[in-house]
Amino acid sequence: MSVTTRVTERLERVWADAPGVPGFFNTVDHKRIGVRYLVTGFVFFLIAGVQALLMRAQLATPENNLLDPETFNRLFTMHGTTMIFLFNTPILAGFGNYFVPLMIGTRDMAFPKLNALSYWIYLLSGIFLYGSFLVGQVPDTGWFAYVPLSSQEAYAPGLGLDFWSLGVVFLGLSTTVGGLNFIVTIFKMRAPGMTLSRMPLFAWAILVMSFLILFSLPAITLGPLLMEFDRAFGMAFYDAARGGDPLLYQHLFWFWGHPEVYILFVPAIGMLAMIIPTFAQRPQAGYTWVVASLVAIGFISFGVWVHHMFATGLPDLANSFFSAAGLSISIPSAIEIFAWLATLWTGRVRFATPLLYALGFLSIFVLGGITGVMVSMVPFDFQAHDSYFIVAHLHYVLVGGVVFPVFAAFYYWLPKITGYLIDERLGKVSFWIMLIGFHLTFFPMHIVGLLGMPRRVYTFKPGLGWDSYNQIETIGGYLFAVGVLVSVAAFALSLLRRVPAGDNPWNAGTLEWATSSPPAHYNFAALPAVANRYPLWAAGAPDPMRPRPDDVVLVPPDKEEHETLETAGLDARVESILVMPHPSYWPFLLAVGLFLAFTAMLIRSPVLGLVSLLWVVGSMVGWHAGELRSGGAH
Amino acid sequence: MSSHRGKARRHLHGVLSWPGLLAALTLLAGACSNTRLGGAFAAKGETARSALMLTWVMIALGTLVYLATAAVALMALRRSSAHQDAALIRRFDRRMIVVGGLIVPGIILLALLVLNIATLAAQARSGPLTVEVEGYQYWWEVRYPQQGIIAANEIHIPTGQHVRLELATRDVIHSFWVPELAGKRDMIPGRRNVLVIHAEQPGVYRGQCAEFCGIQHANMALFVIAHTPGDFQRWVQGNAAPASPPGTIAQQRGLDAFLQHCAGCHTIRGTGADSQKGPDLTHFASRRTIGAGAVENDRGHLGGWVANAQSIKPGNPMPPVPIPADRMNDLLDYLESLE
Repeated sequence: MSVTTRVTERLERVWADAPGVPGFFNTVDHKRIGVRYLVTGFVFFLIAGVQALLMRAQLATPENNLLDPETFNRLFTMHGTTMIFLFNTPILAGFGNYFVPLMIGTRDMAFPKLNALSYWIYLLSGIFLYGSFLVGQVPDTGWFAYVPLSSQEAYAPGLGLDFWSLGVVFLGLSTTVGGLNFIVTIFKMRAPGMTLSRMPLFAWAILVMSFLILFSLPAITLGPLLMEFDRAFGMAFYDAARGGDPLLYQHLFWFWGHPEVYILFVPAIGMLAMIIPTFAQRPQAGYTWVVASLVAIGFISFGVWVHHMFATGLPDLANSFFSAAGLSISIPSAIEIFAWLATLWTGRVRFATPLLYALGFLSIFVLGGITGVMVSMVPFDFQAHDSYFIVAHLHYVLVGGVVFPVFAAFYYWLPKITGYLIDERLGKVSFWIMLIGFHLTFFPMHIVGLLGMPRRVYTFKPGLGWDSYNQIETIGGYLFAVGVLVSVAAFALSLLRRVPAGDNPWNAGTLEWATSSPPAHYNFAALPAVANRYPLWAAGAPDPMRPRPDDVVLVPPDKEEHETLETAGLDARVESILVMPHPSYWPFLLAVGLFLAFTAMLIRSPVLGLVSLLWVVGSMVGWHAGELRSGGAH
Repeated sequence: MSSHRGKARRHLHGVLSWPGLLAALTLLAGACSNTRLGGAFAAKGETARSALMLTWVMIALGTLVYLATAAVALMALRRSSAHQDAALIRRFDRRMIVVGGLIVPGIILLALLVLNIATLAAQARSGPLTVEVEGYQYWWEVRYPQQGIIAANEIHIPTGQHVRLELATRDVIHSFWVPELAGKRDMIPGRRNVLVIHAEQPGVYRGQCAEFCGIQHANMALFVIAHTPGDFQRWVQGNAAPASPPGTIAQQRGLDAFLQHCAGCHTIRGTGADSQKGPDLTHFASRRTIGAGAVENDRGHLGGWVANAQSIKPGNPMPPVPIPADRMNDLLDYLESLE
């Protein structure tokens, strides 16, 4: 028996999950959790997409009676809530979960059990929010749920807005825990030699995103929480008649809401900064510029929230300040874009589907950035604000800036995840349909918005010059959906046809392509050491799946522990051997306990509240008791 | 390699020229819909005009930036070649990033910032006439405190004057927006925002609530009607007066029906009906629409609205009014007399 087989068999035994149902509920494998994020997020993407199609059908003609106003209002509320909270953020976390440990050459996230917890909370909070459909009391005041429309029983009776505010707070736990986990993972678990300046740009992006999450999430927790206090206990945080202030909510919401745009966009930059160099077959141009821009975006994004509030009557001076901040954030974005153009300029370009989607990003996002500059201009924003111009702008930014990169990422990384290639022709067909459908849907919205059409209207009058634009938008929307379905078909076919991808189908340079496709449970048999930014393009590239006798494999013969390396935050010197936790049911149980707790708050049941409290405390005790016994941490 | 590049060009050409094509297509659609380009594009007042000027400047600049970026991208894909010296490439990368990402956008943004502040500074002016506008779910109350007029959903102003609108709300947040005259301003509980509007020519300018305010947000329109100063004075004189008394027996019966069925919510000055839950109807017959733009103000719609406003604007606060058919005719006679 060769060294390789002995080592990999042993690692396989130590790291593999239990088969079947137990493994399903107790896994802490970042790859399995990552896939769950991706699948769940994609399902929510499809659901929110169907909601959008229904709205477009209603708006195809003026004075259409397909949907009643209540249904329409519920649809746009859940469309926005789902896309932002349940699709965009989590699907990026999914890519982060799956690929950050692989890219930085380690075997799991720093806190695998917390990682499992954040997925279960995400899933259950999604189910919680969609529970509102089961009881027929669906949130219907828009995804930013302004007060007092949302905070007072008189305007928003029933449980709808309780589902929304509690659901958002519940989900925030998942996001926060996930952010913390990424930060520690990225700082402490990089491969030996992977100094910060050699770190893959996607890891940089996830790091910046995680800090944005940590600093902005408290605001989106507090805002809806105070709303729930107003609703449940008759408090007056947002009630002007009793000394509260509705604008407080807007400040809290957008203090998270604007950084959130970058929580979404920054990881997308990270993905593109992995994909474009691969298809240009050269390192990312201006690595330091790209990193500096990511960090700059992170900081500036906290100074622009008021540009969502220009029309609230703030003084011109305040508006001008935030206008300047809003304008300045386009500089780091421009730097990213020209860094990619430079990469392509001097690279050997290969036109595969992932690159097409990346170029689709350019075609859409540049326009979204230009309209972003436009709405930063206060006098223009007074016209554009809350009109279809904003609907156009935000979709150019979010579909261009996130959905296209996410599709690029699916086409790029799915072969690594599944081990199978995706049909290039289907991918390209899907891309073109999506691109055309996208512009057809959203470009006319710029115009119809300036023609005076406000957003969030379930119907409109004929004769205002809005009809044909709306018709085109509806056609475009359905075309876009066809494009998405072609991609779904391409993904499904790749699983049926099973054309092996090989370890590195794109000849990429970073560590996730050094392991097998799909990766083994332990990621790397020999933990790779790194001496440059693109280790697989350098001479003497690591070959971690065929360990040699002197490689670091970390399989002590006497005990069956999950082990990996801990390295120094800056220069990634080896510091110690980390003993990682085993699979555990406690994350799932704790998440269920929290689900019960939020349900208790929703239906205001003290009994269920008590049960859930005991459940949560019990799960926490169980979580830690297991660790004390095994002597491990985390 | 050359076919490779040709392919690259084709791809890029397609990817990047779409928005231009779409722009042409949508403008064509606008032309086909057989209406003028209205809204913010048809500015008829100073504030809207300066915003429109800014809009055209930015559309021109934006198109230029977009095309320039597209051109660079196109060249980036045509030039693809890996046979260059590493130091040269590094210098090229840095130049590209500094020029395209830092210097050019920096200059454009700085210029825009100056333009932004200049436009803002030029917008703050207001004249002697003040109108208070208060948002309700889902209509607008319009008061002229100096003239003693209370109306709804229509704001009459004189041309050439800077009219000060004081914006407030009775319930949730609304947003006042008449795109041909000025940008929008929110109406927020506990606050009073000011918006100055100005119309150059007489005309009817449509507006609509711009902040989602509940189930009938879509049907919360208003009209600003600009008169020549002389006509405006006549309008003020007519509307400051109480309602004219019923002129026929049918109208008298209509007034009785009004007092019995409608006075719990509505005011008609001079009749004893003075509740303020719903719009003041003193000069109701002079208004263009019913239900804040929901339907035209004619006898058929009015009858339908009074009998069951929920069938026209579902979820609005006005309940169905159970009036026998003959009394309904009298009521409509009376309401239609309220010029």
